[in-house]
Formats: sequence, C-alpha cells, structure tokens
Amino acid sequence: MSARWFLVPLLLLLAAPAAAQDVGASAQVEAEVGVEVGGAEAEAGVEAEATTEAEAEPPSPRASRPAPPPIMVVVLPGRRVPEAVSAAASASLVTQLEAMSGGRPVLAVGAQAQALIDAIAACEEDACVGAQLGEAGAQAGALLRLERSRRGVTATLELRDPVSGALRHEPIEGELPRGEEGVAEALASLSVQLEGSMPSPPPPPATLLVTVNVDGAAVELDGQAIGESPVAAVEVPEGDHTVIVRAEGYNIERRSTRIRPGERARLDVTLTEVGAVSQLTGEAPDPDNPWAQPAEGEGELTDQWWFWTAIGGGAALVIGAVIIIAVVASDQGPPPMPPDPTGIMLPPIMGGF
Amino acid sequence: MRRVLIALVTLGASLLASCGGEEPPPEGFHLLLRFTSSDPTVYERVIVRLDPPGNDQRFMGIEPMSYADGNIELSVDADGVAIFSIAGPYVAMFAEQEEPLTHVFDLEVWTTEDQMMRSRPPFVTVNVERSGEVIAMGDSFLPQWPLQLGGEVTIQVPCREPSLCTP
Repeated sequence: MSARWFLVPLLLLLAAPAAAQDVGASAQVEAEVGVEVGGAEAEAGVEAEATTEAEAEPPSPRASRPAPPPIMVVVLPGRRVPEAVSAAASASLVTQLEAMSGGRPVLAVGAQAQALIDAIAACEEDACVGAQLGEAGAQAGALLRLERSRRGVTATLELRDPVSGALRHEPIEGELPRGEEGVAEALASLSVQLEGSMPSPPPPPATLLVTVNVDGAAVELDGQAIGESPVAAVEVPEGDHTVIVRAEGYNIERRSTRIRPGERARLDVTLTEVGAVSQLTGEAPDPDNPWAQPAEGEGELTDQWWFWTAIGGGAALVIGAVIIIAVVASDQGPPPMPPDPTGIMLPPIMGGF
Repeated sequence: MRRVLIALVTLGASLLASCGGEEPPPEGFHLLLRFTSSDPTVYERVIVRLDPPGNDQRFMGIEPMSYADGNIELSVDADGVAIFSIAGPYVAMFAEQEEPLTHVFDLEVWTTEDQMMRSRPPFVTVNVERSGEVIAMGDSFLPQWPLQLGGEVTIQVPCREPSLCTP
C-alpha cells in the first residue's frame, strides 16, 4: 500500500485544529463586520471561512462555493422611534423576505454596522445608497425607514439595487404599532408587495459527478481528495476544475472541465493499465507517477520471466517437432542412397569366390 | 533480444540444413600413375588394365563407357579385364609435375562391391603408347579389393624408350 494512504489521515488530523482556528477566525470576522446573520447564518459563516482559508491553501471544492450575495435589510429609525419596534421590524422583515428570496440569504445590518447605517441614512441620492450596498456586497437592499407619527410609526419600505441604488419597487408606506406587538403582521402587509420585485433566486449549486472504471481509485478535485471511486457528486463552484484520478497499477488521468452555474456535470474517467497508452490522452505512463510505474515483476517484455519461458518452451516444441518428424520420416521408406563417390565406377568382379 | 533472435534463426537454419542438405560425395580410390623420365605431351594414349586375379574371375561385362568428354573410356574385354583408355593430351593436361620429367596423373575409381565380398585385388598394368609403341610401362597389385574409398596406390610408370619419351 502506498504511503500516501497513511499521509491522508495524518494530514486530516493535522488540518482539523487549523480548521477549528479558521472557524474561530470567521466568527471574529463576522463580529467585526457586525452583520447579524439570519436564516442563512450557516452559509454566511461558510463564506467567511472560505474567504479566510483561500489565503492559506487551496479551497475545498465544497467549502469554496461562494454563498450568493445576500439581500441586506437596513432599518433606518427616525427620532423617537422605539428601539423595540426597530428591532422587531428588522427581525420580522428578514423572516418575511427570506420566505420570498428563493434561497438567497437575507441579512440584517445590525447596530454593530452602525457606520453603514449612518452612511445610508445620510445619502440623498440613489447612487449613494447603491454604492453603500455595493460595498457591503449586497444583491439588493431592503431599506425600512421608520418615522414616529401620531398614530404610531410610519414605515416606508424600499427595495434597491446595489451600485445604482435604483428602486426595484416603488416605496411602500404603512403604519406600524408603537409597541413591538403587531409589528410583524403590519410589516407583512408591506413586504408581501415586494414579492414580484425580489432578486432572482440563486442558481442551484453546480455539481460534478466523477465516474471511474476502476473501483477504489483516488479521486482529487482541484488538488483535494474527494474520496475513492465510486464517489458521489460534489458541489463545485462554477469555473475551471481539474480532476486527477489515481489507482495502483493504472496510469494517472488528469482531466480539466469547465463547470457552468447550476450545471450538473458528469466526468467519466477511464483508467488504463500501466504499460498501455492512455486512450484518453494518448500519453505514455507518467514517469513521475509512482503508481503508474510497473509493479514488481512488471516492466519491459524482455524482463519478464514468462516471456523467456515462453520463448524457450516454444523453441523446445519446434525442435522436438522437427526431430519427431525426422524420425518418423526416417522410418518410412528406404534410407536415402548415399551419393556416388567421385571418380569412375568399376564394374564388379564376377566369380572366384 | 537481437542476440536471442539470431540464435533462434541460426538454430532453425541448422535444422533445415540438416534435414534437406545433401552430403558431399566421398572420394573414390586414387590410382596415382607416376610417369618418370618422360614428357606427357608426347603421349598418345595411356592404357590402364585391371586384371582380376585367377582365371575364374572377371569383371562383369559392360557396354563401353566414356568419361571426361570422351577422353577416358572404360570397357571390359572378352577376358573380363577392365580397360581404361585415356587420351594422351588429357593426361598431359591434368598430370601434376613433380620434377621436369616426372608427372603424376590421378585416376579416381570406385567399386560397388560389397565390403563383405572380399576378393584378391586385381593386377594393374599401365602402358603409355606413342605412334603405336609402348614407351612407358608400369604395373602393381591393388592393395585390396574392394577398393577402399579415399585410399590410394601409386604405380610407377617409367620410360622404356628414352628416345620416344620426350619430344
């Protein structure tokens, strides 16, 4: 068995503490950004983790899949708007928009990102708002402006694009109660009107299924092992990927494939035995591939014990057949007459014996 | 690999050669006629007689045969004597010169006698004729009969008429 098989679990053991540190680092990044993750908290965390790991080593095919840009909920409370109402409105709006986002994450910008809130609140033009949303990496911004009114709180809900800041829907106004109770119901009557204006749901993750004609072959995707064949389909980000398949006694196969967003790609890899020319690449056995080298007892034809055994046996058979034929032929018919001597033949002498 | 192939080819060739090749013919018996004190260029004819021993033995009668483009004729006369008649120029052409007036002519013969049927060997007489006269003569018993293949006997044929033995 190759030493690589011992190295893989060893590397995994060594990588586990590092991964834990990375998770901690991602949590710290999240706290610094001040983004309160809603229902897509796990995916956002994965995104942050992947971003951190990308600086250190090649990303895992699954972990490196970036989460789709979120819809950011920004609550802009006016004066004397109860904080409880603002918080309840933010939480309710996140929940309601998630139900309509088709899987796209919805994030609430909380008090930790007060600078972002203040910047948006200070904007007088759409482009200013769009720039703030763009810098925050939002797919869209749901801005909820709250103003104290006589009957309660006046809410104005806007859905804007990043960068341009353009409205995806006309501002929707409504009244919210002064207390947090009933905020969700009141806000739902507003948010539901945005359903037709929500950003398109993110495409389903692309997957890649690698099939190998040999079971137990080690399959690597972009430098990371994804298992031994047969392997299940794995999620992969769009773009170019490299698949390497190794199996003892077979030539290494390297394949490149381009994955489109949402594609369910399949890659059929046929391994060829060592010594045979790869049917796919036409390449000779890789001299740098220890698994592609001939196993013990293999090699050039003339180095094989059975080759010379076959040659010797064949020669013995031929010689034996010739001898047998000669013997059989010699037993049939009279023996051949010897050639006459050189010179003149004398007649025999008759009589006198 | 190449050496192995060469060895196999050689082996096959030798097997084929041993199966289909013909052995070279064995040598006959060499009657070496050693002419002394004479010049073969003056010979008209050399007569070699093989006379079986005893009156009751004779060579089997055969039709006259000629060899060497007619330069050598073999016949058996009525007395059962085998007679070679060799043209003088033919002898002069093929006789090897040992000395200025000594030449050796090789008359190669063989017999079909069964080795088990041994007999006393014939008596050989050699006459050299020129202008109807015998100018040189020699005789000898053959060493054995049947003749041994590859064997030889030298019969001295000295000149008897010095005035006629040279040009």
